Amino acid sequence: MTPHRFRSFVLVAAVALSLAGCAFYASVGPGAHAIQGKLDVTLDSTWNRQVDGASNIWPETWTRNGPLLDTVHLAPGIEEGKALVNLPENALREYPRYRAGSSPTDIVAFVQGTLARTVAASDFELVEVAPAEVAGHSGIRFEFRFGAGNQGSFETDRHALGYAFERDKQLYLLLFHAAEIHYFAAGKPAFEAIVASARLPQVRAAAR
Amino acid sequence: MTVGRRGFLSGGCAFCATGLMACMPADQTGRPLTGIDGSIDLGPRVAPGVRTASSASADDGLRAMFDQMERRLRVSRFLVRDGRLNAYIARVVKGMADEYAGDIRPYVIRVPDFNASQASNGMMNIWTGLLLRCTNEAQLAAVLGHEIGHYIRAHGQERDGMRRQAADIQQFLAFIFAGLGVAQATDLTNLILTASYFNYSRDHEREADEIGIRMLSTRGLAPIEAARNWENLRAESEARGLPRYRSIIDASHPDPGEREATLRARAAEMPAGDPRSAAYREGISDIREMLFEDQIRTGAHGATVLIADRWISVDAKDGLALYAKGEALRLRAGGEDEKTADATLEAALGAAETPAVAWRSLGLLRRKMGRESEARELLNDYLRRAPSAPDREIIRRTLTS
Repeated sequence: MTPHRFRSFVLVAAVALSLAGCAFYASVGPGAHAIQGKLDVTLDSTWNRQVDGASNIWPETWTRNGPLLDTVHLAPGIEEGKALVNLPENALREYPRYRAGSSPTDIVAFVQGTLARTVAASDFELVEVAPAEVAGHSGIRFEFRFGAGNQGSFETDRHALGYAFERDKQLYLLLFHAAEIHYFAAGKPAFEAIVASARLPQVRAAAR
Repeated sequence: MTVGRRGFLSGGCAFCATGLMACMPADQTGRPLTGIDGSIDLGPRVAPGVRTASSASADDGLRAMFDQMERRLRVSRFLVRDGRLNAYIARVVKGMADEYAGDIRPYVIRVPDFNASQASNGMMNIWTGLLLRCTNEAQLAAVLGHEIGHYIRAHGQERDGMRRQAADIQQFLAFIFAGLGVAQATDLTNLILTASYFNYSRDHEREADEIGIRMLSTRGLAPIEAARNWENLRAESEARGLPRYRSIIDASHPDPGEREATLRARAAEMPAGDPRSAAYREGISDIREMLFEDQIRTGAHGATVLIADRWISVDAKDGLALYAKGEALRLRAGGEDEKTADATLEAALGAAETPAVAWRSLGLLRRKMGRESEARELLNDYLRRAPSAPDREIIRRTLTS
């Protein structure tokens, strides 16, 4: 290998290594967006949609300022016995699984148990669980505070707001969690707008 | 503190010997022959009070890193600041550390897993998951004594010296092998150096286990509880379905089975001692509910049932443990789980220290079972016991639907 080629190799390797732990994003919105053909939402601004990377395990993840500051997870149609995230079965060993007919309390526990695994969330403080209409269905609205990153990584006080409903024994979840300082309050209206725009796709809805 | 060349090579040889045998030899009683037993001299390598003074330059770097970690820890939201708990932990540490008590600074951190660690600057981290998994003071003291053992034997500094030396040798050999045109040989030397390093690490753990059990015995605590920690941890690993494979090359700790067998054999040579169960439960009483809630939230329901069962075996009327077991079974909902959950939650309602959420848990379960009128009564009970519960609105909706 010539010195020039060696330098090129080192440069490429360094770039590849530095990107290995990165997530990749593409812009999404404004306008209508279909989530896996199971839920339609309309965005009034542009978000960053995660399209690759090791942390890309939720059905859909969006952020405006980076996942440490604000994150939206959209998970439509989680079936009985399935986890909220997509991972090999052996990695899902201790992830909570969805049980059709879960009570509102258990849905919140399902979400919290998943965050405990994905972002080392703990110290949950439930703020509220209340009835709500979501995508034309009777569902719930829930809110809780928690701490993330408790094992030597970057620690944040976070606040989560979620909406969920069950249809055909499948869970539909829209979740926003962000740093308690500034980002939760700043991002909440945009998330609420996404929730307000959520609709089931016409074909599916009509078939019912 | 650095590791001599002879010591380094003997570590390598020890690895090779272990690798060739692929298992730990044992004596006639089944005790693993690790070379570290009751006859070995494990005197301190650090004098009391010296770690607060200046030390050698290489050591200073390590200490500065731990000092920075400790400053961050003091302001962490995960630091448990309950006064009664911290006073109790400080008492246990002081009882174990004797003249080193002023050098060891324990911090309880809210992480629902089994762990404790000791840094060479004196910072001791105790995770809340460890507190939940111990059911008596002797079990906790065995772990803390083990960590204090690392401190007084300067294991952290020794491993750091070993790491530096291994890196130097790796660099040197890589240069030589590249010059000779056999760069691939570097992989083999790296493997041997890595194995030697971890072999040292495992011996440090064995030393610390021995120091810990000696401390238990001399302080009148039950030494057998040191072995029970490992018995419990093995059972939990099985309940969680964690893989049993352990590498003989890069495992930093000895196999839990080996540690349990060694400690059990050593305990048999010592007076029985006192487990101090009541003192322990009193010491952690302020945070027991939080410990169980955090464990339930991990979603490791099999482990929660095992841990709760251990507490129930100590006190059959432990309302918190009965609730945790029932809730974990209700959430897991497999096979006979719901039937057992129903009986366990029913028992919890008549026990002491039972949290209000136990009424909700049984109410939701009875509702699922179709026992509607009982469910309504239980959920109403829950609202009466927790009138400002954050889920009161949705529970009321449940009652009116």
